[in-house]
Amino acid sequence: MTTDLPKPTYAHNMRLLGFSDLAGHIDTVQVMVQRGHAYVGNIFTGGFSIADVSDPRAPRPVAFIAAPPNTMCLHLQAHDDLLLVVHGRDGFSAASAAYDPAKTAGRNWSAGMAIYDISQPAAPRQIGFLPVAGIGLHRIWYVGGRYAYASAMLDGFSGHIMIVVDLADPAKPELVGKFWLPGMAAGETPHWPLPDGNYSLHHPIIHGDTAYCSWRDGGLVVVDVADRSAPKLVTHRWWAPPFGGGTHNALPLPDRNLLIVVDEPGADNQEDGAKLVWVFDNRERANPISIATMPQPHDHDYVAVGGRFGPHNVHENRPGSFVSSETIFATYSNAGVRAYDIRDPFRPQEIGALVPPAPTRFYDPRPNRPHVLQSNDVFVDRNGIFYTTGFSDGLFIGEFTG
Amino acid sequence: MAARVIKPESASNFEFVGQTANGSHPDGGQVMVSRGHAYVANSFTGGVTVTDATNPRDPRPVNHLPVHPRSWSIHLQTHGNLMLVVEEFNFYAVYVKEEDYYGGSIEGVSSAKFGVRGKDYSAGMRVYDISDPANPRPIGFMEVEGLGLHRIWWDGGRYAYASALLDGFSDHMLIVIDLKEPTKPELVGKWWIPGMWLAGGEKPSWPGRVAFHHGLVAGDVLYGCWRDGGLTILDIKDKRAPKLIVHRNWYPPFGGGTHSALPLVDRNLLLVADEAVRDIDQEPLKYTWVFDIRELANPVSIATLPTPADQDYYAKGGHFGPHNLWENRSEGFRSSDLVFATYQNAGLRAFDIRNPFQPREVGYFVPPPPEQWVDHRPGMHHVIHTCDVYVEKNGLMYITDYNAGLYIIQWKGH
Repeated sequence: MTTDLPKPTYAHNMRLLGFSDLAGHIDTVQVMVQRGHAYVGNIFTGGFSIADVSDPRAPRPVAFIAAPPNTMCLHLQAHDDLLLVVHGRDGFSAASAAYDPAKTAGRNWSAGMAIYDISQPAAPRQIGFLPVAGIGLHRIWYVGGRYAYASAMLDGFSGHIMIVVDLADPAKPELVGKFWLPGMAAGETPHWPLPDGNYSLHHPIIHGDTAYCSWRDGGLVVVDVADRSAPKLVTHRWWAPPFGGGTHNALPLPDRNLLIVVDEPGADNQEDGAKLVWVFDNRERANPISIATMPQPHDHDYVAVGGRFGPHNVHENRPGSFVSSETIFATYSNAGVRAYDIRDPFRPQEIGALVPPAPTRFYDPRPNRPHVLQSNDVFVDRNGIFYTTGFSDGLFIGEFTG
Repeated sequence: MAARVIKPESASNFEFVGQTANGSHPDGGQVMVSRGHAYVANSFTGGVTVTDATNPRDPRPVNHLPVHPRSWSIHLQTHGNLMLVVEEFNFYAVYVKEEDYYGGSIEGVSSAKFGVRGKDYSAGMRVYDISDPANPRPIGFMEVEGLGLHRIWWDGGRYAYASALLDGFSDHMLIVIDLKEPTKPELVGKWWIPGMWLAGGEKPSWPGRVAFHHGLVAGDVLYGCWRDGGLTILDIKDKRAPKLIVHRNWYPPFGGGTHSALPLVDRNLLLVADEAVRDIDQEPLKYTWVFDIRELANPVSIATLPTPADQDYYAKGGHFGPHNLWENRSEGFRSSDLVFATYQNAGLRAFDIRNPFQPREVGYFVPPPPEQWVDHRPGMHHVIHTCDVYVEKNGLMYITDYNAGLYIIQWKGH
């Protein structure tokens, strides 16, 4: 089996252990691993996949749960017996009806959040659904407890906003709170610095009563959610322009009062500028200060490799997984997976890299996509085994040896 | 007398050239160099010392320009045939502890509190003709209604920009000085952070001490530092009415003391140094920041210069942290890739910022302990406190210290 393992393009302090093409569902985005099973959101093939990864050297696809027609389930959250999965319009499918915020009739996709019981890890059973009116949900944050938080594109808003979902009864999820930036709701006048910018919540990460929201071209938005039904703005920082926007994750490291913020590339070959992973000092919640960035991979000329070159996700320190405020794992699109030592937060160092090979089969339906690795997400378990995805890259499993 | 040779405590990429205690004035604040002469502001002994450094291995003090005994003249600027020197009530005459001076603005500050201006202290800016470099000749004085000036930015041209403590204001603010007629300098513009004009009914709303330290000008833009008030970027197209473009403050969480902003406009970068104003066991470590200023209205901090670590400067004691940056003056060395900074008990440091996201230290010169001690403030740690640096085009540089005299050293790096 291991003899079939593809050879990485580059590795440093990291070793490739296993690979699965997930029975053909190689279009992989968010990945969660729990109880020896990987839950993987698919972006193009309409659903999500489950693989038995109890032997990381021999991952085995065990299920594919199809989404309703014209619906994407690219992001999901697994915690204990619950799996929350986004439903949103599949913008890549020609069969999807056009989105017209004024017309609800004729919408041929599912919009909302599906809730599964995964007490049988390989056999999820849907127990609830939160419908929303609009394009749907993009990404969720849920690590147990009563509330889930998500980005949702709802009728009446110009982009994704934050919603708070009450899961007191997981069979009857309820939307209890909303937060958006002034200018996003119908009737409000926006004053965005980039007229063509995308001012839209990618997703929030919650610590205590604070939601750290990555707002794509809108940067970082810190929101007080002490009152779940009435979230309040604490502060808003944006660095596009001069930087290229695409803010994608904001991960608090509460024990060190730091915040890791990722900007995702929105164009190939760094045509929208070099995107970076930022370190913020977060000692003053209302005055986060950017203090450093992670060094960019320089072991190859990744701009010349083609496709996206830049950070996409960081491992988000979910409880039960690898939790560290000193070692940060990130995906870097065509530069694979990177690990950083941030013990000195002013001078982060790269301490590991794994660049899986370019896909042999290419699934991305978008026109003119270069056939290169495009790493999307990384999940690290408590033993330092990591699981990483990509647009046509299946599921790679690796180990950090640094 | 043979020229002195002094072995540094430690050095890398720098070589000792010369040193002088400047007679009875070993205390150095700001230093300027022109035509082989160094002009050193004396922080504690008062006045300005002129040192002939035409032979840099054997610098000799040749003149001393006194200031009113209850005033200080800790900052000066030279360009061409002119030198501008601040005169201000000497706060250390009344507020001897660092905490009293740096901890907050002086309660109910008013020049009347300290006597009669011109008699009990002098307050303003003195203009000297330095066409005869060893013998500066006072040719003009601009008195201000207040306690005086702190620091000036003037690199030639018609206008100088200074920090001044004027009656009616809580602390130092920006003033613009017209030098069209150098014998009659004229105050033409003012700008302050709203809240500072107490006489106008404004109320300060901040922790710490918000006071303009000084600002550097590039084009029509002034990059100004406000101690605990952070950084302002001002449009100064209209000298009479500077306009705020943006204000950023990182105190708190950081420790304040924002001191100097050095624009590197060819690279759209701005360096900003936060001064260590107390002993290192009395305040958090300060940093020198690198900002991206491609968008003038949205400066973004992207990195800090690495903190010196060749020895344990915490254990050494005294002030450990940034003070001054070499400010790329037009008559001296100019670079947007190489930065020289004084670091108090860690001496002079050189940084390579070709990659502005990951600046690197590329050299240092740490003088040995001072041989005499003239800093009269109580409780000061008797270690070097490297204060200011002037860099000539050939990399010969002049560094001052609160007590250790004037060092001349040579940059040997790339």
